[in-house]
Amino acid sequence: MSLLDVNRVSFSYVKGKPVLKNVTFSVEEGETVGIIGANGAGKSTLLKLLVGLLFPDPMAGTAMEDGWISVDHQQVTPKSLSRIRQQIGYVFQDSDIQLFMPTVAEDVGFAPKNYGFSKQEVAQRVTRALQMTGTYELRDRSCLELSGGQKKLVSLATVLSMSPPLLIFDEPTSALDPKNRRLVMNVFRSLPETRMIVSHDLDLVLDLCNRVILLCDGKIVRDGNARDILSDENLLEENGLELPLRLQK
Amino acid sequence: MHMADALLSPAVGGVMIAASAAAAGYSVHKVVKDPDFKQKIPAMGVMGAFVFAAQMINFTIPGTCSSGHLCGGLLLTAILGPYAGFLSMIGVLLIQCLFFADGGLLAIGANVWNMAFYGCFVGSLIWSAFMKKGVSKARIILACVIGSVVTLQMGAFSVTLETLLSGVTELPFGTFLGAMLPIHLAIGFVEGLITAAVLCFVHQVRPTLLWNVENAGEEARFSYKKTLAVLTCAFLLIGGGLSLLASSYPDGLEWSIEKLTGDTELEGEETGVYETASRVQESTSFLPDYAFKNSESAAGTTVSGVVGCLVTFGVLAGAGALMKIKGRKKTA
Amino acid sequence: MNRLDDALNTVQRMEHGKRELPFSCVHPLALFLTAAVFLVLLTSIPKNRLDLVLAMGVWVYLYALLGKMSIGEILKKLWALFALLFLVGIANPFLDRKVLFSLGTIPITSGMISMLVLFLKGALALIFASFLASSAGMAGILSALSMLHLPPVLINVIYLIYRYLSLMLREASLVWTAYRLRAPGQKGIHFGTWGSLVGMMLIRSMDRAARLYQSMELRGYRPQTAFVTRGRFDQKSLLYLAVCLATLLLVRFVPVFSFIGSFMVD
Repeated sequence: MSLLDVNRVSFSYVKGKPVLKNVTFSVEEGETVGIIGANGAGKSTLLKLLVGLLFPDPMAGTAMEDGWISVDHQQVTPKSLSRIRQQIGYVFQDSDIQLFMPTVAEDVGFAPKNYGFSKQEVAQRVTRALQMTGTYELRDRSCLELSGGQKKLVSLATVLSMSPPLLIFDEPTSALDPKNRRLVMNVFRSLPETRMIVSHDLDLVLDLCNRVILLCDGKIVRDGNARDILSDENLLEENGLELPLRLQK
Repeated sequence: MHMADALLSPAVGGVMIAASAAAAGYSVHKVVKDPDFKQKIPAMGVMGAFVFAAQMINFTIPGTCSSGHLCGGLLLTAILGPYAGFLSMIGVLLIQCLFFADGGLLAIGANVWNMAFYGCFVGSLIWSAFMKKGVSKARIILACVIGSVVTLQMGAFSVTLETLLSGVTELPFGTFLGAMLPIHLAIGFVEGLITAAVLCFVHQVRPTLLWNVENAGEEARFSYKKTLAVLTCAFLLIGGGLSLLASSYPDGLEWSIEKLTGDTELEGEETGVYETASRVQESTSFLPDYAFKNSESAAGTTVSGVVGCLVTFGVLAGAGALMKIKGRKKTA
Repeated sequence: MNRLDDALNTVQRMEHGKRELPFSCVHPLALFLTAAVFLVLLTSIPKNRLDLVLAMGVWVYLYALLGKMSIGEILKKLWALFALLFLVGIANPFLDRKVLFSLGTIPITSGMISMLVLFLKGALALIFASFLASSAGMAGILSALSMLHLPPVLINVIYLIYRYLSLMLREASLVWTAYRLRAPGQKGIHFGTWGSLVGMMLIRSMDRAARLYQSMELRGYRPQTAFVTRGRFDQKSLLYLAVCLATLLLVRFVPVFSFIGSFMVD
């Protein structure tokens, strides 16, 4: 079994209108996977299914077996959520959603504290996560005072404090200036964890990922080497995307 | 309508804090029992902040040069329900008094009661009464306008009562009430309409967001103009009646001021002025000496106390200025 | 709609400035209790005792000097407060015309004094509340309230409102700017747009709340724990509290300034 297994998963918000259709893939330890697709392709829904904010549609009444997702050999069910969520670090697109505690240090310590670690352990984890993201000096600052790039790095630290084996990023560089974008990318590259990135920024995906999964209308259209897929102009255009700027002539 | 600390005596302020705390305690108890409780907390926070910001937006009132604002308590109730809405309003009022000089810490109990308690709890009763048989635009407008007018009138009445019980004003009860109620009738009407406009839009776009509403209810035939016309007539009738009542009241505010600026009254004052003026000439000390030089009278203590304060204040101000100059030299 | 931008500035200034103040190192509970006692003593002053209100004013001024608080910024905000105080207080000089003494040729009546006392009380209460806000910060005040056993649900809600306030103010300000650019010369939102403009913001806010809930859920959120942490009530804070309360009681109940003033009047 792999670190992450997604097996024949379908999902619909409204009955009869599936957003994801029979999606199957797996992610091995140490991989960096990019998930790309036009708006409405089902990327965000897929991420929410992975962390158990949503659950796959049951296949009752059909000949098919129910779809399932497993993380580190544990199936995602309402009962396993607490454990699953310690295995996955989810960095939201909007950092303001992720940062709600009075200070940076308290925000980074929010998850370890809730999962019942001792005071000492929480403090150690906070220090480690802040050092990994280069935001240690910000620890006593209020989240209201941070710049966009700092917010992004701190929200990364808030999930690193649980040292999850799998990290998921939703549009990690949206609304960042070039310098901050590079900063976030460098920190991102230095992390040893298995990573999944969802982004429209195909240059970013090309830079960071060795594997790409292309979604269109809730189905996986292609799953393979990042460079091969991202340089296939016809394939991208058929699925509502364009070549990364770096590969455009 | 925010009451300031200065309008309250500690006793009245304390009683209002206790009353509001009891309502808050009960609301917490009710909210925790809600099956969606965990989800409600972020919603209460974000919606509280939203209402705070939305209350600062000016809405132009057609046909006038003035503008109105949203009725926060009613809006929060219509989205979150009375208990969660009430708790959010407490947060809004606390932040307003601490950071925006609106209201006061001691007056927080009175303000929570006058605005949040009536707005959320009485507001929710009115809202529910109108939504019982299904939701429609006309019902939303009626519920909002009536809810806003009624809760604001209750709030204004409470402000009057609390101020008078605190004994800070010389105004007779009737006069004060006569000034407060008509003003808040107009404000309530406008706030109700604005709130209704927002909730009608929400009903149209995302009906599931509205609290305690059966969305399966039939959409009644609705005409903006008709509903508005009916409401305006009612408003004019009530408003006219109330202001008539207020002005015919023997102690009406305008009447008293008119009476006060009358000739006979002022003459009486002038003799006093001349008398004291002549006494000023007699005095040789720093401040004119009246009867209080050797007396224990309250006036005596007051005047010397005031002088003492001013002198100390002057000394401190000088010291402050010196400290500043020193600080500047240090940094330079 | 400058109010939106003013409010935004206020929130940001409070967040940025609070750590540099001398009293910020005092435990928030001590700051909060001092403010509470101050307000009770201030409002308990009878309406004709100008001397006592001024004495409290001297105390506040001394406090501001020692705590490096700025009063100027607060005074600018007082106009809103005076609307209601004016309505209540303006009638006092007309209705209570007992002459107490004269200043030059002007007779000073007890109604004038009580109006002045009312205005001063209002200003002092707000000044001191804003001192509390700027030295303790919202998180500090909430941690004090949490130590006074306010339920965590309420603490968390108030904290979240504060946390999302600047975001909402910025959003409202942007929406208003976008509106104004397409509707030049309007002072407010036109009747026809009343519902949709704010309604849209409301729906976006609820969506944001749903995402916020998700992000909290993913990090093992438990509603029974308060977001704010309670610090240790150290000796420094105890000393601060003791000195403040002692001096406050002194100026309120012992006529210190009358004693100083009696030399001048004689």
